[in-house]
Amino acid sequence: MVNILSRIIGVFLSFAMCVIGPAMILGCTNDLTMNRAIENEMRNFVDKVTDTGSITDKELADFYLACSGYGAAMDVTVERYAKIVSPNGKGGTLTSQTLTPNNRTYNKGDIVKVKVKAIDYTGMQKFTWAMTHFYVVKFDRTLAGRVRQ
Amino acid sequence: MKRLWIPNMLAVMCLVGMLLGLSKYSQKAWQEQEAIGLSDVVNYCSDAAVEEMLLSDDLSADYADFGKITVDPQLALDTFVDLFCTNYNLSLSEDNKAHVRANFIPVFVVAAYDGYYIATPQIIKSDTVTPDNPAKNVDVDLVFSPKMPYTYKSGDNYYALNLNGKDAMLLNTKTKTLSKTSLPAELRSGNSYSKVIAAINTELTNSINNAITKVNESDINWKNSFFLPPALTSYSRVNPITGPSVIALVQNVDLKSFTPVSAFSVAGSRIQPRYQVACYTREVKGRTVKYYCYVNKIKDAVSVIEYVNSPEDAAKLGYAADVEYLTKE
Repeated sequence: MVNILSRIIGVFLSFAMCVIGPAMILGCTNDLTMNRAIENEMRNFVDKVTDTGSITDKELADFYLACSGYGAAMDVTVERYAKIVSPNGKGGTLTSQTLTPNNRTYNKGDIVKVKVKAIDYTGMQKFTWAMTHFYVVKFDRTLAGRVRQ
Repeated sequence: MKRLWIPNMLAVMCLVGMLLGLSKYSQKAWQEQEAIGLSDVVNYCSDAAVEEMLLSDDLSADYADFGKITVDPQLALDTFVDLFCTNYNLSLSEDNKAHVRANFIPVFVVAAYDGYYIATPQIIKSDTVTPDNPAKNVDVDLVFSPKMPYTYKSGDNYYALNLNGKDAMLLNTKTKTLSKTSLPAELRSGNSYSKVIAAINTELTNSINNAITKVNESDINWKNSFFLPPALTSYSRVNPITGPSVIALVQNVDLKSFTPVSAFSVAGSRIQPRYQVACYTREVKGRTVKYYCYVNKIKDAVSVIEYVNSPEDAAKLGYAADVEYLTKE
């Protein structure tokens, strides 16, 4: 009786070691690649905006597509912080960055801020949670650049 | 048969090891990703800082005065911190900025034409707090040094070098006065420019290293050092400092990760002269064609009609790109 029980446990454990472990490590590596790829997309986009000072509809659509094309659906926000220089009442100036609704055209000194956040879980995250109850943090990154043009 | 618990025990231990390994792996992965992100952020921030500190100046200067651009280090630091806060979704309040300045930036260097400013965290006396000056309401803040020259010792003489690599200032130790002079003898021979740049980069490296050592002398885990190459290195594509630059180090950022990211990110920016675009007409196969080209690429005598700032402006005015000149070395 003990013999059979041990065998069953043994089979289960060897399955866990030989299948679940490698699968999770593989998934983790896959996710890392995805994160790097999305980060590159973000860097490209911010570079483009800081160099040209404008965003067209097509560029924005391409960027949305590129960010969601690696596995997880991403929520992308592009914000424009306009540079506002106002008198401070003492003969000097006061510079502030103000969030503005128009994020298509930029002036020199404006800040473009790109936020990319995962809204669903990748297969690896679901699998890891189901098997081991490890929570792997979702992708959430912000990148901001200052417009040169 | 009764010993079957031994392989099972082994399997359980392997399973536990696997789980621990997985958790460590994902933690490392996250940390690495944060480090890469941080270096991106610092790159953008120092780019912005260089842009801003030069924006504040009159750039209508002649090309002959190119080396004499003055910089505003405090404006560079403010821009850097502003953009850093934006990158980490912090609001641009004075408290947040003071936190970033005091905790994450051990050294911030602005290299100018004839000297450099180096900012290190220093204790601010709290009795200077006024309602008008809330930024002083912190114990530690980054404080810029006075402008320090790129010193070079040759024999018993002290020189202050310039980034142009042509002349230097000699300190008269008796009268404590500076006078303009030619380069010291050992820098003058051979490729004097690269020797001067190497000397300047060595000076910068040393003072940055000193500053970091000072900041981290209480930190027993600090094992990094810092190096600015005296010449272009081909394998890491690092440039030496040859123009007004911002060098920023950011460490121990714990805003988004489990453990502080001790990414050692250095980013410098360089200003290069931008040539104007000349619009002219040229005879091609008997026809007079309207062309534009950068002024430094024009080799023959052409009748220039006007100068504009960019190829886009020239194209709007109806001039075509002069490929023959533009593609020339």
